[in-house]
Amino acid sequence: MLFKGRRQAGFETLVRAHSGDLYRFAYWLCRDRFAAEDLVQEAYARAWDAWEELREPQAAKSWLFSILRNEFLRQFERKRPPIAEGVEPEDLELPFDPDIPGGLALRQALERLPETYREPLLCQVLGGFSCQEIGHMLGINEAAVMTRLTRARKALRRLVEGNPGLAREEAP
Amino acid sequence: MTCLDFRRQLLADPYRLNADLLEHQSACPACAAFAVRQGRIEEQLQESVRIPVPDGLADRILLPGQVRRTQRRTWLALAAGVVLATGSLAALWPMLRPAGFAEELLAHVAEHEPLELAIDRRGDPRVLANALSGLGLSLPAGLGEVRYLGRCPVPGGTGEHVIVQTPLGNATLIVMPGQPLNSQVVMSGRGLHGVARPAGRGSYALLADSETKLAQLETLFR
Repeated sequence: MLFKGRRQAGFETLVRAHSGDLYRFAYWLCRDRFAAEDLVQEAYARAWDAWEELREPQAAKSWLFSILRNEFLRQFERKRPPIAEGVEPEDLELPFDPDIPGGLALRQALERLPETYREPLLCQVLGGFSCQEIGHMLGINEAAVMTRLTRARKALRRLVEGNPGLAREEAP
Repeated sequence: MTCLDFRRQLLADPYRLNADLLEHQSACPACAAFAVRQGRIEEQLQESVRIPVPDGLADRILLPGQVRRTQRRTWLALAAGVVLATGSLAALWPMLRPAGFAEELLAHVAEHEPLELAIDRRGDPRVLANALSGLGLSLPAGLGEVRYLGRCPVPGGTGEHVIVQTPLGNATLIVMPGQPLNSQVVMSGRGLHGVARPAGRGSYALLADSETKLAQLETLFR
């Protein structure tokens, strides 16, 4: 009974602390806010079932992000085109429309970023995870994570520098 | 450490700068400027990814029964059987009960559009063009600037939800390729006026907060 109460309290703390960032992560993975909420609900349901596997409370956030990502892959794997493994161009080009306002241009660029680049970037920006943690979550080595993050940021940086709207917002 | 190493590591993780990186940054004005600029881009990036979270999300997750997977699975298995048996009926629901269809559509637009506008997602116009062409329609010239475009649940299935900025303000188009209608459904409520029309094998709905705006929108689809 006491264990059950403790589990419930711990679970509630995790929901209140991380559901917002998990929702945002889910949204950027599937880009559908209704599907994103379903993914978060399902991820927490799976976390509740697998509660015993959470040994280190400080790793709870990365654990939840991993569960959500696995759930996303499970639900959306059949719907998305296969990713060409090993194709990692040195320079990633993101098209931009000069007529679109700055903040929106960055959002659209994020949507256009290939999934292999977007995922680690989201894990870092939303989750605050290190390259090593992201590597564990995505099942790739730390060096590959660093490469993908560097290329993703270079592409976004080029977009910012080439977009007058963003450059204006950036000016001090 | 070279400037190239510094920039590579900064771009890989600008949130964790070790002592070597900080030392290089303080000794190299060009890299220091590069880091300041990257810091500003990170701020924009943080702002862009932090889309609004639906109200009450945590409470909904914590609702009693939401996390009882075993029970949920049992119910889901039962529900799946029912869905298989009545799947075709669900898509016909708008035709069978047009008043309920109209109420749900009005409620959906009234409740969800504020959040959709806050997300400011302008989606992929090709998806909308495909959905419209499936109904034998095309995107009218002069529809206005698209403020939001995304898939949404609608009575009996899913639709493409579009919010457009017209000269009179925002208006809504919902394209429902899988929801047939027998005839036009006129609706009003929740501060909105709308009309849903059959098209091809599905239907589409136009909604606005005034009859004038709705009439203007309708002329584009005639």
